[in-house]
Amino acid sequence: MKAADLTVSTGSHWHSGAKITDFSYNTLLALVPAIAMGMYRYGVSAAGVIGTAMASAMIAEAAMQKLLGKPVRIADGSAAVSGLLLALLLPANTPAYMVIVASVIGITIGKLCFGGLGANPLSPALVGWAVLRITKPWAGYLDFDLALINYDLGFSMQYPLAVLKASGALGIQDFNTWNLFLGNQTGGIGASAIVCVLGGGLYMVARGLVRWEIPLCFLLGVVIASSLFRLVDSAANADPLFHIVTGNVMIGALFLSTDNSSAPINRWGMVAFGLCCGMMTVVLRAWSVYPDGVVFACLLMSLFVPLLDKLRASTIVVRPTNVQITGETVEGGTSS
Amino acid sequence: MGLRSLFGALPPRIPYWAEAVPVESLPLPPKATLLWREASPGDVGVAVGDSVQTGQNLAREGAGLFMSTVTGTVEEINSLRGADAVEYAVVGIKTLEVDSYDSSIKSIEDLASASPEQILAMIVRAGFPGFDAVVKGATVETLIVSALDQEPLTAVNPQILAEHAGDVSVGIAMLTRVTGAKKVVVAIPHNSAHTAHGISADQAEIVKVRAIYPNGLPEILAKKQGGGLLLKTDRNGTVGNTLVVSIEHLVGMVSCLREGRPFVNKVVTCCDKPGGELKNILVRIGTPVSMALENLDVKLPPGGKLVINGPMHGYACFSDEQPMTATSDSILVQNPAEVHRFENTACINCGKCSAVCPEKLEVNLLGRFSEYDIFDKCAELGVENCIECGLCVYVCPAQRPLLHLLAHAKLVVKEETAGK
Amino acid sequence: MSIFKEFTKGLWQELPPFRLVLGLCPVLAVTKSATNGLGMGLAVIFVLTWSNILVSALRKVIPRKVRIASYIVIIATFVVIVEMATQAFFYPVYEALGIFIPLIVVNCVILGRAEAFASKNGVVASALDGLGIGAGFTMSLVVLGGLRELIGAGTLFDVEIMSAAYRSHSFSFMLEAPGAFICLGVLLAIMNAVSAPSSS
Repeated sequence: MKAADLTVSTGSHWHSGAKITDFSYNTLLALVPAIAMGMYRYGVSAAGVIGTAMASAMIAEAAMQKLLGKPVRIADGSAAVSGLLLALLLPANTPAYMVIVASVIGITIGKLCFGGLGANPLSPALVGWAVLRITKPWAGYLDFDLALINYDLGFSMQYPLAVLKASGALGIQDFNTWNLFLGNQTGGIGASAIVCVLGGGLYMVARGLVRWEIPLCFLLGVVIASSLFRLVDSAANADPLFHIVTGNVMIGALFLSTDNSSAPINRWGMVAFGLCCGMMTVVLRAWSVYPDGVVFACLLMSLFVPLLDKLRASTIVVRPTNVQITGETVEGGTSS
Repeated sequence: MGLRSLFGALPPRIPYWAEAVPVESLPLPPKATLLWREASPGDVGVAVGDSVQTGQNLAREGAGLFMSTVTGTVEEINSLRGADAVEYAVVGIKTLEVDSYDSSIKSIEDLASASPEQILAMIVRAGFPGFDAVVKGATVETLIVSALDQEPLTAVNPQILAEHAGDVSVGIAMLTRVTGAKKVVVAIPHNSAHTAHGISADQAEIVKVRAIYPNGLPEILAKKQGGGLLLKTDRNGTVGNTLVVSIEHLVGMVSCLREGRPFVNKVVTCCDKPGGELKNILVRIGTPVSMALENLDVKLPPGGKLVINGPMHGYACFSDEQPMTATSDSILVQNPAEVHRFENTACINCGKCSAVCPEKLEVNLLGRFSEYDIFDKCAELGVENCIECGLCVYVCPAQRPLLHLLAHAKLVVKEETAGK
Repeated sequence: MSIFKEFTKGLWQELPPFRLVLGLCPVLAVTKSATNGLGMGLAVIFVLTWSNILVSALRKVIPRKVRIASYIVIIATFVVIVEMATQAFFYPVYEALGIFIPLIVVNCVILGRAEAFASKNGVVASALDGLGIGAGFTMSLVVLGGLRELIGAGTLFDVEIMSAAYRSHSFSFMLEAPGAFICLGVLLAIMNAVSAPSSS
């Protein structure tokens, strides 16, 4: 007998060629227009925030993996994506120390303490952002009206959601929805470039990397909740379209809420998750002290993911029934 | 072989082979190896040195049926634990050039008038697999005759429909009587050039099935075309109500029963490089893979893979002495460069596996539970329903050995429930 | 020697919030500053030591079936003493600790020591156990409170440590509830990392 030097394994013996890096690298690619828009608007300071966030996230991930004795896997790009998403939510002149603190805490506490990529119950970028948001002495930097006071970009430099919060539907009459959609509004470096974010998100959906259920239902949730609010009090609440084209809703629907490990994977779970995120966003916009509620809505709903993932037809386990070998009539078939 | 659907939620499209492939006959092997599933050497009724005839039952009295497919002298009797964690009895036979046939397999001249019991007994005696449950008396609700291959890179079934249309019709009539099935379905690939002429509409329902994996798997056919469960039986009991018979076996049955011959020759498709041509060979059951490869002038690359029964749910052999059985459809040789390597990475929870799973299992959770030996959770999530199609492995971006994990969990759960 | 061990074990081996992971409610809630932590810790030392002594002394008198209720009565007595004393003499501390002083009654550490130790051991050993565990508890609270105060406000025991520039832009996240959890978790991880080789 000839010794055949063969490889053995279980199936399948083919592979589609999908890689872990598909999602992260394509996300980076999809966000390039938003980055470009941010840099065009806010100049080098935007590049500084983005660079700081990405670099500190990746360094934090590598250091933490080394410390925990795990293989260093920053090349999978997930830390870079977290850093980038965090940066895109921040105003262009956020001080570097804030960016570093947020991305390091997001990556270490928000991700690697739970076991790294795939095991984090919350999106690291959102954890980092939330840390900044609830740190009171720093919150002034996140207030876009205050933070971007030195910029004049040729359009109203008032943060639309802050105006809505302060003076209701009357105050936002000056904002043109189409202009807002084109990104002519103050806000996060990338989050305010609504049309660029939408384009990138559609690319992700078309590539099959982001399932369409969450983004669509997120936007649907925003529309439903804001319509309800408007029905009750049309003087204090904005119309649904305004909600969709302002603040972090677009980036939240397409990039923040679709983080793999902090979103459900079954269809009805995703639908419920998206709807709840969207509705919670509007609720927080209307009733919380913060002008925008996307991040907290996503964080809150992420905690319900294990529950939402149970929204599926349960699998019926088929067990064998004993069949008499000599019998004439036999109880064949199934039992559950 | 691409998986690039618009919404990423559609199952991957892995097409079946569409063209006809001519069949080339292989000479008899000098030594044939016969495998008997779920049996031990003690169940074998012949001894080393005995001469056996083609079609002879090698099982000891009362142990069932283990049919010799060649004429010759028994050289070895052994046992083997297969890749499916089941014990096999192995009998090696040195073959003689000329077959002498066992007399207990008799021809049935008139299939229409013979009694169903007689036909069933002869089908089983002639060595056709898959009828154990029917013999035990399980009810067959639906009979599905499949002209689809189970796997890509296999070209066994579709042509037979054209070549033996008459036999197919006779065979369906015969099996309908034998099984008492209320519904009969003939599944043919949607792109097949051959329609099922000769089969009348009141005899069977003819369904065009999309020729993409896993639509040809018996479990999927039973579920999608028959609306039931595949009939399966083992020592623990019987499950299902749908019998799936491949058209190759059906045509084989008709000719074997007419002539009173055992089922000993099997068409096997060989493929030795990606994108290469397929070759069909007619081999005697028991022929080792090495002989088939030698005849086709294929060399096994060191470090490569030898896969029997297709690239998706087939099994990789550790030796080229692996014999062909009555259910071997294809041989695939992979170069080391083509061999897919699994990675020991954690699940990233992307959900692709759950989206493609034809049994709608939560593969992402099952993989993790199995990895950490939490088998009661696996049982809760229905790991026993896994049909081991391999699609989850195919799409996994983390390149996790999901099928390995699931098959392991399935085995443990099965043993635990059997032990209760 | 062995009696002395009853005291020292509370300082590391059975350090309440980290090793026993008991009494986390006050640990997280009152450690916004080192002063609060110290105040809470001293209150717990007092209640724990005296309740241990009394429970130990009465351990043969208290019927088994009503022991928990009896322990609670004993503990509550000392808690009321502490509450009144702080209210009278350390009003700012009383203000800061607020509801958490009365809540010492249901602090798991105290009830746990009464049930697990004092009800089975002599008066001296129980007193030392109470002192030791209480000291450990105080130490943990001071460390946690100090860290949070230092990072979150730039002060320590209300003494300005960091520069005015830091204090006006301090990382007040650490003073919030999530900051408390993260700080406790990080300290717990460091403790486990330090003592992991010796325990295995």
